[in-house]
Amino acid sequence: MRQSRTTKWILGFYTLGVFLFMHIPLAVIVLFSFSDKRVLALPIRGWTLDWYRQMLEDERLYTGLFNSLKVASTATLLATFLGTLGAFAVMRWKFFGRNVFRSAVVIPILLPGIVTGVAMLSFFGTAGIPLGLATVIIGHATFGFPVVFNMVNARLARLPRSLEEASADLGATPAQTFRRVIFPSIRSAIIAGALLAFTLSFDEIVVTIFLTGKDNTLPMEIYSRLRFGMTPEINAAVTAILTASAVLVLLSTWFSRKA
Amino acid sequence: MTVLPMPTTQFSVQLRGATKRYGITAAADAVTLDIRRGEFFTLLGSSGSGKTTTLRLIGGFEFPDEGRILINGRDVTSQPAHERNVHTVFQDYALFPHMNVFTNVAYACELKRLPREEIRKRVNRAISLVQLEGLDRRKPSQLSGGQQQRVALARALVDEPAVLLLDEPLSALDAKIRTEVREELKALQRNTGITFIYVTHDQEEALTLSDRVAVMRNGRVVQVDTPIQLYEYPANLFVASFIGKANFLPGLLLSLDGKKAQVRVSEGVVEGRITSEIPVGARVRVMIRPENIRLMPGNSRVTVKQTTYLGHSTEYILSSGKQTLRALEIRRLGSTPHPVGTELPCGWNWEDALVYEDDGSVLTF
Repeated sequence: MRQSRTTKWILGFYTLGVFLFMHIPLAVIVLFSFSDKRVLALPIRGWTLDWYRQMLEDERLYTGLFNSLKVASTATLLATFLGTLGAFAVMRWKFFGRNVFRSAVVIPILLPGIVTGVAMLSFFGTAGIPLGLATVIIGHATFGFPVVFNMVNARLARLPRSLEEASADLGATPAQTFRRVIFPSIRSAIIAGALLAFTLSFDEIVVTIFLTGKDNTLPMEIYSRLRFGMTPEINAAVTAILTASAVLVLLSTWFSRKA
Repeated sequence: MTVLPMPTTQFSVQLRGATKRYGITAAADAVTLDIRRGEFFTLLGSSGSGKTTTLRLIGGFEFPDEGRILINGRDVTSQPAHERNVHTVFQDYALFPHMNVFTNVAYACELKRLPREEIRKRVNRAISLVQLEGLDRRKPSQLSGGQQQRVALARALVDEPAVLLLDEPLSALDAKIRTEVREELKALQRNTGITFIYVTHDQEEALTLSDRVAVMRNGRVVQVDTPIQLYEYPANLFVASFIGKANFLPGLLLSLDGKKAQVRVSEGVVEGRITSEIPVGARVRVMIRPENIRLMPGNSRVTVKQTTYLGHSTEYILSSGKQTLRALEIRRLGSTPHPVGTELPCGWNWEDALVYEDDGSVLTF
């Protein structure tokens, strides 16, 4: 499509506007995390790293971070293991209800967190399972699972069946074929899925609210502090989370594009 | 190293009534074949003829619903692919994308846990066999189609399998390379002495490469013979029309004198040779190859409708009443092609025209 000069300018400005609208709030938080005033107001006169030091000395933020890491890594492991197996099952075997399964698997990503939260809360309540980090882990694994499943499934779909046959043909047992041919081909997809599942779990809050006991994850801790207003330490913590998440998402994209 | 007992059979691969069904259709229908050791054997057929299914049965990727499969006289019917001493060159080559040429070729040896030095020696030999020296660190994606094809060959030949299966290995190559690789394949088979079983839909490939060809149709083997026999003495109308070009004149069998048949066709009576018992009065087809038609005094006069100069020969479309004939005349020095509209006498030696009972299996092009 050919565009006139004016159209190009209009489209350019429009795009810029959308980006600013989405990212200015983030930029503001990052900016304020370096401001030396307690009050969040422009213009910023002096710059400091004090809030970061305070954040590092804050024990409750620490506990939250530790809990979040524990939840995210366990949920990711669970989701990755099950998601990979699920993708294989759907790809390699015809079983009753396969197509239903394939569509049903992605529902947890689409469901509002509040629905997942309420549903699992009532389930755990009925089953008499005490709430705590373990229930949060299970909750997070339910939406991590489809993320990994989709990534691995897409990769497997592009993997020609003849590769497996060639491997068997040359004398490899099914286990050897998996280890030497299939796994190396889907490894980056598994890693990409796992990174994404980790990121989603790490900053999750809605499902966590319903399913946690007395332990707070980092986003919960930050949320609970908001009652007292935005503080510069929170800005610092949020900036740190933002940076870490961005790195993980970029890594995930890089891995999912690989091979 | 264990000494294997010498196989007690001259046959490399034998199929005994092997049948594979998908739903109600039999992709391979009671296929019985005896493929000799060291033979270049081709399964020829159009798509859906069962040639690939038959190959996959031999490779161990599919298992027959009925019948047996023997390799070197040993029953392998229920053995999976990785237990059979048979390697395959796949149509899409199926090279492992994350491995380089060397590790791809070394795959079978690595699985057998051969010593490092032995693996290196064998891989280098296989790589030089297919003339890929110097490319062993390349990834498959950095190779041309022809080179990938050679890697696939080297990978399958590296541990000297009893049988090499090739599934339309040339179909992904462009025409120029195809002829080149075809000649190399033939030489490779001669030099290694390994039994090659080759699947193709291309009759020219089948005729030029093979010691023997099995023509397949609807899951069944229609004829197994040498290329010469297939071309000159096709067992039935289907094979006659599938292999090479030919004219098929419909008619009625008037009389028989030994093998010599008189057939009434639309424009008179022609002579031919019967290949099997046919009752007088039956509906028949007279098959005559274009190069066997002589434009010389004979039993009818024809008009030239079209002349195609091919260099080494000239092709004519001739007509005699409603009947059209395709004829091929080898160029002789000093002769010029007959122009369109020329009336010519035309005929053939009665032994060159084969008479078949008309079962409706002539392929029309």
